[in-house]
Amino acid sequence: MSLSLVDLRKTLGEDKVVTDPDILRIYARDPASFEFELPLAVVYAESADDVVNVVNYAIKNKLYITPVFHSTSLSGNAATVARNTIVLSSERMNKILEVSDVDWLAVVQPGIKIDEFNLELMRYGLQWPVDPASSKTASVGGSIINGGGGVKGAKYGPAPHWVLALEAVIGTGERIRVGCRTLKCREGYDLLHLFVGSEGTLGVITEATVRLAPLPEAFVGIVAQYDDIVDLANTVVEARRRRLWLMVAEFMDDDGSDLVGLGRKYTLWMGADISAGSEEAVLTRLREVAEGNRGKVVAEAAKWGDFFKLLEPRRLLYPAPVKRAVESYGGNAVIMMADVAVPTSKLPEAMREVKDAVRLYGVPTITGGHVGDGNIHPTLWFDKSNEEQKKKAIKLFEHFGKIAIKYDGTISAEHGIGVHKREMLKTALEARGSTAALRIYKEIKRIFDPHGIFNPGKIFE
Amino acid sequence: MSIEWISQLREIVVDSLEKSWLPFPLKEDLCEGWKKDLQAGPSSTILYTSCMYHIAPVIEKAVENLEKFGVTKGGVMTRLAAVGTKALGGFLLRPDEAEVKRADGIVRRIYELLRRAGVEFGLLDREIYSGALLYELGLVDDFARYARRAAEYFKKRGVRRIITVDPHTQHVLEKIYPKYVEGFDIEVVSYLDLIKPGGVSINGFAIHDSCLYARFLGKYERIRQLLAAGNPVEDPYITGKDTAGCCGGPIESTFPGVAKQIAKTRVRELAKLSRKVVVQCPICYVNLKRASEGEVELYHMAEVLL
Amino acid sequence: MSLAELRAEASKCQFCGFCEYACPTYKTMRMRHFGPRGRINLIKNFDGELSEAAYIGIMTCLVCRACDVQCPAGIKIAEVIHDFKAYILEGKIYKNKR
Ligand SMILES: Cc1cc2nc3c(=O)[nH]c(=O)nc-3n(C[C@H](O)[C@H](O)[C@H](O)COP(=O)(O)OP(=O)(O)OC[C@H]3O[C@@H](n4cnc5c(N)ncnc54)[C@H](O)[C@@H]3O)c2cc1C
Repeated sequence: MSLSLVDLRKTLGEDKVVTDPDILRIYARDPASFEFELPLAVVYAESADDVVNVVNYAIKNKLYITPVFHSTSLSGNAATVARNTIVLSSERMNKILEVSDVDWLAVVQPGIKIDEFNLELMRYGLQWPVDPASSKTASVGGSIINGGGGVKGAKYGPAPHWVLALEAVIGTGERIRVGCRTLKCREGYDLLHLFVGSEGTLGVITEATVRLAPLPEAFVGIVAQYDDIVDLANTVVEARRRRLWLMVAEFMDDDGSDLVGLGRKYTLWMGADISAGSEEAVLTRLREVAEGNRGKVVAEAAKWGDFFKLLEPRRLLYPAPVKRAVESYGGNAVIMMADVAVPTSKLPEAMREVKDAVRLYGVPTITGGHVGDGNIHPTLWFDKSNEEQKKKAIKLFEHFGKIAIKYDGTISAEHGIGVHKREMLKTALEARGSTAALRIYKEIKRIFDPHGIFNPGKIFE
Repeated sequence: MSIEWISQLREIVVDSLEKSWLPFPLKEDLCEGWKKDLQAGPSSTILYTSCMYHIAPVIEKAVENLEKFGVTKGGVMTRLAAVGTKALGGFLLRPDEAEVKRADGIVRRIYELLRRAGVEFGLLDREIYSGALLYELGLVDDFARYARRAAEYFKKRGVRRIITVDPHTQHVLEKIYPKYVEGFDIEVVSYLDLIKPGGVSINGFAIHDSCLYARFLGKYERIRQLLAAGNPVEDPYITGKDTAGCCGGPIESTFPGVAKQIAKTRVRELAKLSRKVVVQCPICYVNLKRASEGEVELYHMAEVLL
Repeated sequence: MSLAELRAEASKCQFCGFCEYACPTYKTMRMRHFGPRGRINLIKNFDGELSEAAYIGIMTCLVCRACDVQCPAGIKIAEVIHDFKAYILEGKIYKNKR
């Protein structure tokens, strides 16, 4: 290491700069990265001023910055892949600065974990309704920057719908504020939403103003099982036709249901937030839709708390493969979770092709996802010491992307491109006849980050 | 804190145990006063304090000093450690008289609760320490050596069943001794499982769980049964079985600064629920007290059970 | 557990970080090596030596077990860290001191 980082230590304070190699290693990766470079340092920012200092230091010394929150990204978004990189951690920036129960907004430092945030909001009867399966670890900032979504997405949609404004430090060292405190905000280009899906390539966010929703007054939901994915998907289609605005519509395929102990069936979790008093009426409608499509209702809940428990097996979409994979391959186990989406109406065909592909490639895979928005997560696992299996797994992973493209969908609904999906992104853009988009991405990046310091190698090379 | 400190601490503890059965240089009869005038039954079952309630305030004081003087490596901290070692020659760590009285009171209260429930038990002629600290610090060999001695001590007195009064002792005797002491077959029970739920003298408090009771020994529900009459304020995270925060105690003697910050985090959480907090462990008690600075009032479980 | 067993157990970690959710030291320090994910990965990567910061990260574990139930891979996190502490002390104290 040629740089001693003395200046940086002096400016920020000793305890904010760590260069200890053991520590660098645990900041260099995220769950899905197989390869990474050791960063020069991990720097803990506690304020926007700290970030400005680090950015200026990087500009001056021609270094890269990979910003991280809690490194749960699944496409290598938060991994260090270039030499001469400083990892800039915002995990200490976790304060709730304001909650307004009239404006239904909160101002937070972006490193707060989603569950930490929601536990606090509960006291106000409010919620930030973005709830990825990783909400115990993942930050509010991370889900905005990756554009993540969650279980309540059927009604609330993903993080981009729930952010009003951001403060960021861009690659010139300037602090900017994008978006407004108001829900409506039409001041020129929508720079706010450029940060959604930017994966740390445009700037470092230091504050987020987010939109809140009241906690539902009441909730009902059912769990139904099917022999055929088509019937399952049609249940959701029909619920929509009947103008049932579902809050949750989650599913797990037969292999997945089997692995988590629900039997070899396709399982659907479906529920709606309602006004108190209408529980029985709405439950009846849910039951009708499920049974009308050959579903067998196996459980019901008349409270969110109870439904949350019923969702437990669905939340095993990642844990169950992890468990199975480490049983089979020990420390060589790798899990990859694809993140494709198709319009809900195309789900049956897309699912069938996913299953065919899994059979063809012979890589263990289960699939679950957010059927409400057509987002499916085929989750596969393999032994990384087995080159052949690894190759097959990666091919299969990319194949899922092709299926999504074929059915007018997207290769990434919520996890982002990172390093794993750079090629898939090109394919998707080509398929839409929109390769110019990639050039525009790069030009946008140049405006925000003229020295090219932020998160090199992500989204595109 | 540095490895040097841990080895100093180890020397103090190992030496003290060797010489006096207690982990620090303490007045020999520190943990005996509570037994005055109490009736001791047959001694195959004994009520065993491991001196925990009496040692805790000593630790509190020592940790305060450690934190004050021990922030730099070597230096003053090593001197303090040296004082500790020399102390064996004469100087003793001494808790305040008031703290000793309170500890006496708590243990006597447990004695009464057990008697009232009709439990038959005797008392040891002398309390000895369980060795839990050595195991918890990771000084496994030293622990094993001491545990064998302690087991012998019980055996010589014909002890077949031990009633414990704190989570550290219950855990180390129930779960760890059998792994390190060959043929250790003394039954170990917690007083919590023997007493009868009665009333509770305070109302609307928050429960600070002992990690050991809640997550290692399966006593989370039992504690709630015993405290139910006082309508404790619960929170799915702050007082949840899986998520309730530790007091910082396990590292108070090695990283007192970090331990205190952790305790502060915990106090802030608990204060959101109630100003009154009930604890089940003397170590939790001193750690939360050190960090609380009046933000919450702390009660030992045995003090509030009617 | 032996060092080999500890490493094998630690290498099951998939880095999801769920274990940090209720970790008292992580919540307080907000640095990865003060949380179970960091500690387990320090053990996984252990090559015979530990740097100062890594040592402090490991030794400040409270072994309170709030992490264990969160782990999708079922790693006995608290036990692994406790036994690794013992291993480190064994090496540093006993071997050097006697
Ligand atoms: C088990 C599991 C389940 C998951 N389930 C879901 C799910 O249901 N839905 C979903 O959407 N995602 C899911 N994810 C993916 C992941 O949790 C999300 O992408 C999450 O939003 C990332 O948050 P983070 O705090 O870990 O951020 P990180 O991974 O640390 O960072 C996210 C991105 O933001 C950048 N960044 C970091 N700090 C800053 C900053 N201050 N300013 C600007 N950019 C920055 C990083 O470089 C990176 O590109 C899952 C992951 C796991 C492991």
